[in-house]
Amino acid sequence: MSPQGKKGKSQELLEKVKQNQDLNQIVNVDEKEIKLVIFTLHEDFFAFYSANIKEILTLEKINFVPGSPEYILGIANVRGDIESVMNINGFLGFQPQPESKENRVIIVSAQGIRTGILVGSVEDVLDVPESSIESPLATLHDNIKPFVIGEIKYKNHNVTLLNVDRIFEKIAI
Amino acid sequence: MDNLVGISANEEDCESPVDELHALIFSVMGVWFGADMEQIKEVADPGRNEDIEENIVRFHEEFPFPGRQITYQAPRILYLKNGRRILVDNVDEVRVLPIDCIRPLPNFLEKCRQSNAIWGVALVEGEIDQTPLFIPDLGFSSHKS
Repeated sequence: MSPQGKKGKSQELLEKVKQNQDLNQIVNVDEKEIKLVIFTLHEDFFAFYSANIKEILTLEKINFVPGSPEYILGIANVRGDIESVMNINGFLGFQPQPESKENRVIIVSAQGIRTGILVGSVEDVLDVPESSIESPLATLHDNIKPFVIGEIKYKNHNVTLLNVDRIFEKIAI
Repeated sequence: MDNLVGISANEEDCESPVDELHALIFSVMGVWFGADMEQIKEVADPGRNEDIEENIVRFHEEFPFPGRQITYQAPRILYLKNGRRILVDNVDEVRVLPIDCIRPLPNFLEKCRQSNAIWGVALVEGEIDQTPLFIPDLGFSSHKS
């Protein structure tokens, strides 16, 4: 085989390699990405679909509302609008969230319900490929399982993706 | 506050137009309330009443503060026009609340609270600056009068 022929084959191989690479890139571009808001409760990482998130607030004064169930922390005055604020720790089997300057209130909306949820901190808002969402860990606590969509990896942390609808359904029950 | 004690509300004073609420301001455990004066007949010092222990509903019995030890610092009895008597705390003044400063409770709270005895929240300027003022329906009762 002539050097010219070898070069020709190399060229062909290289072109195929490049084509495959392009094909992979096309697949990646076409793969559906989902935006998530990652937050903490105590030391654990959780996420909501950002489609359910309306706003993220620093912790304003929360005013207790007499006659409310324990998971309702109260209401907050957000630029003249009244928002309810709830604590989901109890549903997930956690102790109440300790107060910290990192605390945030995530305003979520689903099933025609809108409320704030107190979290320990908001860590990130990021897009992830849908395929990166894995099945929930078998070791999850039974209290959490009913609300879990799946798991993702984020900076060496397991992040549990929660379903807001299921949390609201639980409350409706 | 004291100028309200022992005075019966007359009809003209407490009838408010539909675009405003004449509200008697009081607080219990640091939470502020504005009760519709149209529901109130008289404000009285409990010291004058021999039967304070009987037939008087304490505010926190109708509007629970779960997990809190309830104390009344300056208790007053509200005689309601429906015949009921409610013990409240720290009666302050009658304030006119324009309807546009009153908001309904968030719908989520409406769904998960056991009663709708608090039906709105007013945001008012002044001493209780931007602190939500809850509007209770004192006519609501889980108890028989």
